[in-house]
Amino acid sequence: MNERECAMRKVQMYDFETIEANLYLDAYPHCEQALEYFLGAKERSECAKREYEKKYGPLTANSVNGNNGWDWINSPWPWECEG
Amino acid sequence: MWIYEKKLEYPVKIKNPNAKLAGVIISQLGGPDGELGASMRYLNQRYSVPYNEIVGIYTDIGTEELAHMEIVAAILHQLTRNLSIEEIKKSGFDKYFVDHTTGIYPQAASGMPFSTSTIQVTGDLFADINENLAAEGAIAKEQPDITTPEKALFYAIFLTFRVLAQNRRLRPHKNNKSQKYDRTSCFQWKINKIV
Repeated sequence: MNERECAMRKVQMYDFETIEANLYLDAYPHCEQALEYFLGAKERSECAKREYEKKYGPLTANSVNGNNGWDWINSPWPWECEG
Repeated sequence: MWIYEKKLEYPVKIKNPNAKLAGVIISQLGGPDGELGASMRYLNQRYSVPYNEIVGIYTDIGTEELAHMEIVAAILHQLTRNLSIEEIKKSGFDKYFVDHTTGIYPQAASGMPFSTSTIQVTGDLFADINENLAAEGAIAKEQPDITTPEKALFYAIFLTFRVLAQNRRLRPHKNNKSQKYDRTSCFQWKINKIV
């Protein structure tokens, strides 16, 4: 796994955590323990995304900062990462 | 992947419920040229596109079509508020109501459930673009006077239509040295990449 793939794996890992906590909380909105877990996961996920985007470009069109032009459409697209 | 935002792309606030109108507008959700079909067209066609500009456009338009689906659903939801049995019978909404009550079911005005048989993915850049233009053109044609959010929708679709029309005039294919469009070039380009 190269450096970029490692950075992406972190984003996927922490985002996955956030999504699962989100789904749990939808069903159990009063669970304080889950809420605490969600907030932690959200922070980890945001941090990993910032790290990734700083080095490898935007994950969403809205995070284009203009420093590298319209780099939203640059390769690779998610389905192009083979092997 | 996708993230949901808890807002409509364009506000919907309908004063007077109108079941008859809802029975027609439902086609914009699940009809042959509706928003669900549009989104599925763009999001599934993008994988075989060899240009990043168009992959970006298909990704973003396909995503926006999902937001349009939600706008149309909001219109339908509000048009079918507080209906009396009399109104349901009189408006002809009874045929829909018997199966779905006032739930939002993606179907054409004719009653045909949403079907991917109304869309196509050929894997060929130009064939797919023409398919999209046909679908957008069908919606962009003259429409009876309806609600403001619908007008905003048509405007967005018009813009889409123009972006696509411009793409048709895009430079010849990267791999096509004869400068002429070759029907199988996109497909061939992918094959060459694999082999």
